[in-house]
Amino acid sequence: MQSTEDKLVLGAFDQLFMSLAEGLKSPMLRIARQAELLAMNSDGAPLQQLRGMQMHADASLRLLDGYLLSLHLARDPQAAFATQPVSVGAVLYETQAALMSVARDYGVEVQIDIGGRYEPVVANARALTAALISLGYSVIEALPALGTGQQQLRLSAHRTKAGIVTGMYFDAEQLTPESLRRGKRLAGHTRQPFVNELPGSAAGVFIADAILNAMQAQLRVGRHRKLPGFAVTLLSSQQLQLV
Amino acid sequence: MANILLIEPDRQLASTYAHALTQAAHTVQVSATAQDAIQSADETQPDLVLLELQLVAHGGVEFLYEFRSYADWQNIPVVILSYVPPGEFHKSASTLTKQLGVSAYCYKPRTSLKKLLQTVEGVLQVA
Repeated sequence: MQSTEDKLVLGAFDQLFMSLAEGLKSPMLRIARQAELLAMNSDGAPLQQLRGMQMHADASLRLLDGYLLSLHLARDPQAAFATQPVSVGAVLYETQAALMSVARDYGVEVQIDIGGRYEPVVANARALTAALISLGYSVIEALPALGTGQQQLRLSAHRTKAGIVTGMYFDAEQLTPESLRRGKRLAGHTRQPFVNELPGSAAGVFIADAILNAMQAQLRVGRHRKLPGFAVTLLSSQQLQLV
Repeated sequence: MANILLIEPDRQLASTYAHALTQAAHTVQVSATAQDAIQSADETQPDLVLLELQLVAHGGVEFLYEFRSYADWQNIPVVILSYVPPGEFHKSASTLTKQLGVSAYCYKPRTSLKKLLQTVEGVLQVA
């Protein structure tokens, strides 16, 4: 259990990291827009590299926004619970669109698998989308490094007794619920918390986890159609069911 | 082709945005502060204003109130191009649009140059 002193120390670091995250947006934005401007005027060899620069800088901006959103939601429960009925399908399509160019750069195919029509779920739409996009960045970066044949990421929704399970699934048999528990314990203590499953810091996973926690939802590892992946269970909008 | 007043405190970004707008055949005046922007508007009579809300000393909303207080500038379209996420204005969105005449809101991290140019063209066509 955190002492009052620990909470104060964490609060100070949160503020520092918030400031850092906001501060990083400026150079990232400059890189992205300068690369875009150069690409607009380039028809030669550097065009692909310039588009890559723009894309990765834009992806960094998204991650920074996701992190700041997680802090904002944690500090402002009212914002976290500004929920509305949300179409899971719409969220998945928006996520796919946001991840498309990064996925292409990594040679990953992003598929949508929505098995049927579902009633809307109760969620903070912006937060849910930001969480899935952050998660997607980490997984897409990981897939080529896993050395598996299938470079596919499946964004999926399916119904269970607990609610609508929304997640992303990929060919990584070593990913288990224990992987996530261990990764969360190691986050901030090691450069590669998911040592067997995902390269690098997997920041997108922890950003998604923080955003979902703020929404009182839980990121977990599950399986769907024989693939492991990260998922969250969302409650359907009972009110709309009654209409 | 339009005369655009770009109010942007980041010199590097301002240069990039100005280049893109100039390549799209617009004329661009750049101001880093609200005070300088008022002076520039007086001298150049812009057709459209692009405004970052996070300015030094006097904020972008403060600038807007002053800008709209001049009779000659009440119908000049204003496009917000800002680091401030639009969600932060959800309670005062109608103030921005109806009272202060903001025609479009572009959140900088999600607004590519292409999207910015399309927004500017769209607003100018309506104006």
